[in-house]
Amino acid sequence: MLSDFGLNPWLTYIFGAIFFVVFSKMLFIKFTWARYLFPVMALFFVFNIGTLERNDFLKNSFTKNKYQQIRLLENGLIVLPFVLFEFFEHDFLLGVLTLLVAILLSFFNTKHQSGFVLPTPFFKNPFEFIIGFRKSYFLFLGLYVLTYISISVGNFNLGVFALVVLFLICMAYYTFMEPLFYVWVNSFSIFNFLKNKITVGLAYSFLLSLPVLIALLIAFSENWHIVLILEIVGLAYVLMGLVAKYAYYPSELTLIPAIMVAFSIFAPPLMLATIPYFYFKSKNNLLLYK
Amino acid sequence: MIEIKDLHKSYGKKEVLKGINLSFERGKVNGIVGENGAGKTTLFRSFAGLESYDGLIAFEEGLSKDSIGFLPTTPYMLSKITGLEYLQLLCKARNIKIGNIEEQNPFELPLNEFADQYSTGMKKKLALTAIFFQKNEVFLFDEPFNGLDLQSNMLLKDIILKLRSLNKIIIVSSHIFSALGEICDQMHHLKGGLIIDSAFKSDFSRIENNMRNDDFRKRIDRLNLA
Repeated sequence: MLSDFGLNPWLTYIFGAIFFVVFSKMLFIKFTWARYLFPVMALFFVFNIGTLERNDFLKNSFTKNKYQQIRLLENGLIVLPFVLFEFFEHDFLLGVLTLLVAILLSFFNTKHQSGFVLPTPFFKNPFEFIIGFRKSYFLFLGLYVLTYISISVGNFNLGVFALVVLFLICMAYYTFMEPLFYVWVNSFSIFNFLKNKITVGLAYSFLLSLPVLIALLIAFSENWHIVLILEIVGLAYVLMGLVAKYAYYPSELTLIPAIMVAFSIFAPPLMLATIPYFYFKSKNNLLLYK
Repeated sequence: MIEIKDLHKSYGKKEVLKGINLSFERGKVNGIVGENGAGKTTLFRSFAGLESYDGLIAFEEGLSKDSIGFLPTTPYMLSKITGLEYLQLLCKARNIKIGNIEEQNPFELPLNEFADQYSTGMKKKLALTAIFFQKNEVFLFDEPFNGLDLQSNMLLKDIILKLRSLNKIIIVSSHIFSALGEICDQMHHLKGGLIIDSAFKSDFSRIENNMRNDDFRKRIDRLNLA
């Protein structure tokens, strides 16, 4: 994306590396649960390149051995920065585990065209949460289990991590750009279109967070105010993801807004500025398609 | 009535529509024919408001882009959405509550299966069903017959004729001339971004002959078939 600004693509790698190290260090200093986030983030990227369609293409183009080498190399390179940083932070066990899981995943395709229709409570308001939930229900199961573990071992930070990641997953549902037809077909005014989207997004995110929220409020009642603040911040993440999407729709976020979103995630008070900014930009942008 | 006046559409330096003038009346089925790349899909997308354009599209009072049911050539189905959820999505978008969908399912689709795993024809049937459920006043069908089985083709023609009797505005593009000939009241020949001929039912053969006579013989000769 830096080449869009007329910069040498090599600068992308240098800036990328500096950005990664600085950001990761900030993350580890600011949040104690960051050490759990790193393996999740690394493996998320590995999952994303493990699609059946993509790997079928590789299989058809290369010999069996070459194909396996490419998969190993890709997965290894993706998790390498995360693993190195985990080693740097003396999290040797998590680093090795991340690497091993990434190597293991190179032998599998992570997505299959399954015809199994998982029922969801989101039928009345398709589509982001129906699609998102069906693609990531296993992550929610994992986060609910993690919440249980955090309570059983009395680790509040682990529970906080589960709650924050849950909202980041909901926020990620708005990274998918639906074809123009699905926006065009709406007869609502832009205000009502956004209002409906926001209402549904917040309500369904709240619904999915409810088991974690209630469990943490009961188990760590002395920290009730922290839990409630994180719940509000999490809902604000979802709101920001939604309005940022439509601010640039049908294009994906470019470098600057992506950085604005990233900074707002790490410094939530920034959302007081970024959410209204993206909201008004969405209203103007959608004028072109309504 | 809907009137299109001097409609132009360009992609960069390439002008795809070079000044289209057409009018569509209620209770009439209008056919648009033309070879690949003539501009049919661009015309439909501009008409629907999915593309920006120069010129004027004047809707009669009470009609707007929100009264249009648009069937694209290849309907895009979101992944992990069932047929039923797709219908719910498109009806919700028009603020329409649907009753017993299973009972109204005209093409008898397996609505509880994922729509993106449907065959090409089934996807088209699902998109058509949604458009019918939306209770539109204007229907834009871009290649509706492609990919449909024989029985569904016959059913679709009957539905279009029913819509005509309900005084709707219907515009259909197709490469299957015989299908258009059966249902259309008027046909327009689009070539090189311009409407070069329009005919009522009694003169459809003129358009067909014009298309056939273009330069078929020369093209066949150039193939050097032996």
